[in-house]
Amino acid sequence: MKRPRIGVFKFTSCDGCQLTILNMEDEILDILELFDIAYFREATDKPLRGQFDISIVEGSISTDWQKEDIVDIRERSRHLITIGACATSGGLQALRNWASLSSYKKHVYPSPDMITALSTSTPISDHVYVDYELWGCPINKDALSETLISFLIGKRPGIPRYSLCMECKRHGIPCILVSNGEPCLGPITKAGCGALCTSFERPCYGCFGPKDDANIESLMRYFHNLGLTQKDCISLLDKMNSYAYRKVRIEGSK
Amino acid sequence: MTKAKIKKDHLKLIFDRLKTSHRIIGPKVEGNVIVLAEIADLRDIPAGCKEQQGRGTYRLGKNSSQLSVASSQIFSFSVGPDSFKRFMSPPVRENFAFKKSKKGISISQNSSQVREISTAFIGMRACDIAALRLLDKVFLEGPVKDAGYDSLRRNSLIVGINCLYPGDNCFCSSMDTGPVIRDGFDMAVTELDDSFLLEIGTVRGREILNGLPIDEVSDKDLSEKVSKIEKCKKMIKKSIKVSELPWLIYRNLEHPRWADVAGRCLACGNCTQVCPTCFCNSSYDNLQLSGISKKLPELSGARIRTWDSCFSTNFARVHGGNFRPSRRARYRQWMSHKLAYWIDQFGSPGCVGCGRCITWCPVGIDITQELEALHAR
Amino acid sequence: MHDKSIPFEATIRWIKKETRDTATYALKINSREIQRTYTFKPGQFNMLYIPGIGEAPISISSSPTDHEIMHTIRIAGDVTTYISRLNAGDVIGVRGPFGSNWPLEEIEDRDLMIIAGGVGIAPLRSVIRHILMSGRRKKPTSRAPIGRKFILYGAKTPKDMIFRDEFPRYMDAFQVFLTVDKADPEEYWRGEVGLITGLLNKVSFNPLNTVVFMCGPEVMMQGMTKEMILRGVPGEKIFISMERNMNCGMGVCGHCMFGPKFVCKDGPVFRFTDIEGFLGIKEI
Repeated sequence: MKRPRIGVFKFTSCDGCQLTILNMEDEILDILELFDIAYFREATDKPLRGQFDISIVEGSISTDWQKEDIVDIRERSRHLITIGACATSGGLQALRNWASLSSYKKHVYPSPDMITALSTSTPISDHVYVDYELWGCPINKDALSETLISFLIGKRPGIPRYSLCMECKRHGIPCILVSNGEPCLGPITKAGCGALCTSFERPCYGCFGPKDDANIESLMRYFHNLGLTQKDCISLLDKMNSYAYRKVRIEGSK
Repeated sequence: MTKAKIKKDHLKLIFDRLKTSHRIIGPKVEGNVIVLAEIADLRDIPAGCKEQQGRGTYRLGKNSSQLSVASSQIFSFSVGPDSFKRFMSPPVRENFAFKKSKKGISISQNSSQVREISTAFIGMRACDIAALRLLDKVFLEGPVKDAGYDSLRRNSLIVGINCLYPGDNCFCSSMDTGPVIRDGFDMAVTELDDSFLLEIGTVRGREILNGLPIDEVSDKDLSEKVSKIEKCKKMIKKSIKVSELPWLIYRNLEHPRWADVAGRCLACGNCTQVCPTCFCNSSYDNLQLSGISKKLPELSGARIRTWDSCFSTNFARVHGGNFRPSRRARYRQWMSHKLAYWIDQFGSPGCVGCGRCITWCPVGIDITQELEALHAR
Repeated sequence: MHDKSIPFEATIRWIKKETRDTATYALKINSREIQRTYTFKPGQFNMLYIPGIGEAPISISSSPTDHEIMHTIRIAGDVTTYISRLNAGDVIGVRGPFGSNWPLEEIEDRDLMIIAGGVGIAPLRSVIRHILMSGRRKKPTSRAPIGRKFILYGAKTPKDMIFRDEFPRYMDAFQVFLTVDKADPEEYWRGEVGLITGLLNKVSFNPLNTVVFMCGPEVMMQGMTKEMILRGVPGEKIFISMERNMNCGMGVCGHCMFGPKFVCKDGPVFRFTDIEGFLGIKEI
């Protein structure tokens, strides 16, 4: 069998999701045996050349040239998978979509004039067709290997679409929302992280993005009753998946 | 001997006796919640604790004064999120391991060792025992017996506790499942003022007491039990009119209330996960990269079964379609199954009135209220 | 009895392509022991298993008297797609048989009307072949049904018609009526064009003496049942085979619930009057 060619690409992001691949210590040899990693700037200096069976894309589109690059990558790829909150929902940097770019630049950079960027940060799927999206900040390594395996043997990846609560309950983690009144986004957030925060008694802050048909409005009403202001509620949602939560919220209110 | 009495301090003797031959599962505090877990010491049991349960809230505290729990009470608390389900039909379990080669398929079942370990459940409530008997019907009395459940069930010993202080969301009395344990136990315990009244259900239950210092049971003890349980019944606030089931639901499958509850329901599945009778699950093939051979299609992996929920969006998905895409339909499916379909399927409602779904619903949807609302035209 | 929670191996003996997306696979059970204990009735299904991919519930399209177990499979999901790429000699996993069956005892001296849409003909082929074979038996003990028998079958286009080559043989025992939603202009088609309900006008039958076996898309079955009842066929004598998402096949996973019924163990074949209250309800 010819090993499928994989390319790993990066746009605006922190590299954390790519690092997940390098951190797959137990699996990395298997990956190399089964796949041909033909482009991966974080790990090798192989030049960008030819077509890819799978392109793994990290990061959001936030500059003009990225808009062209992603089209080029799409044209080189049989399948395109996005990894992480940036690539699937614009990332933390999408917070500038609801603010002014110039004021952000001023606050962040010593010489803002040298920065050219779009006023928005958007997910890859706003620009090209995406075959599969892996959520998470960063992604879960088991989900990545499930996706790669699924590609190899020809099936749909079995990645959960239900709420984090299901994962918490399976692990027997006491619910901090109900038992402590902590504003936990678990009920409206996708499972898949392995209930990481909640197992340390920290409320979920939604890094795996909204679950299918998340009823955000109802949970926010409940938080409001707990004493959170409207502004508190919005800032809970405005994190790395801000773009996705806002989108679901608009769709849910229709 | 079907009844006996022991001094309160002697509960430890029973515990120690069980511990020599059993893994002991019982109530224990984790975080701010009373869960069911392995307990090594009788002191793990949160003696004298009382939780306040509301719609979507649970607060653990020491005896709250308004309930006037006697200060010497050990089993003053009520049910937490866990039930027998977690142990008899574990959240994740392996159906079998598989190996596929060019020539064929080989399937192997490694009989998990946990199944063989005898487990004693102590402090189980009447509603939990009633729920276990409902799970028996699902897993043992269908066309194919669930072998995993069967062996876990056979290796369990049940020490039940009669509830004297109900939880705020309990309605077992109206479901006729509690608060007193009627059957399905090896030993049932009632906490009297200065002793424990023990009722023996099975030979195994009796063997626990062999050689232990037990007292005769007097009529006074029995009447104390009855009066304590009557008092408990009076404290139960919620109820369901079982006589209206299943017809109240069958007549109202298109009631506007379903759309109303869909506006509140998060479809997070918490109610189904804490429900002691919700048995829905999904099996899938789990593959690891190390199990994939370079010579495809050779591969190996395991078929895993996990708890699932009718609230999962793709629970009723078939190729190219979903039978229940809306939250309205999924909530209706859950509640109708609990309170109506179950009666047709297994002869009694699938709800035992433990109130877990009310407590652990993040937005406090109350099944008793939702049912009541179906009366409105 | 073999353990129905564990798949057993079966070898594909031959494959016959039926349409562009459907083929019939004949299976032979590898283990002698299971061969002996494996018996099924027309209308039941097996869970076909591809390790690593998953399981799919597929009805049995052969008669119990056939030498092989046949499955007629349309490409729909991952498992069926995978199966479509297999060849004779390949081995797959099988669990079963599961579910209820067509009540053959109901038809003994009555008229039988078999109504099928699309791939829904697959579980009914089991009955058809069973009747054809029992008719051939000459023993006085064999109780071949003696009433009139009809097959009404609808497909999207003539090319989507499954078992098209077998219908002439079916005419030995059945009156066969075929229709398509759309005739293909490229191909010669002299049958009917239009809804399957339209075929009823061609059939002369006594509604009070007729038993109906039906399988197809749910909308079609709803329309057809309504039509049959209007014509006076008692609802008690209409049997329909349902489809839902099945995961365990044994009534312990909850996926296939249809109202109070588990399609996998109470069905897939239901008496219409047992489920009629739930048939029209959306998203039940």
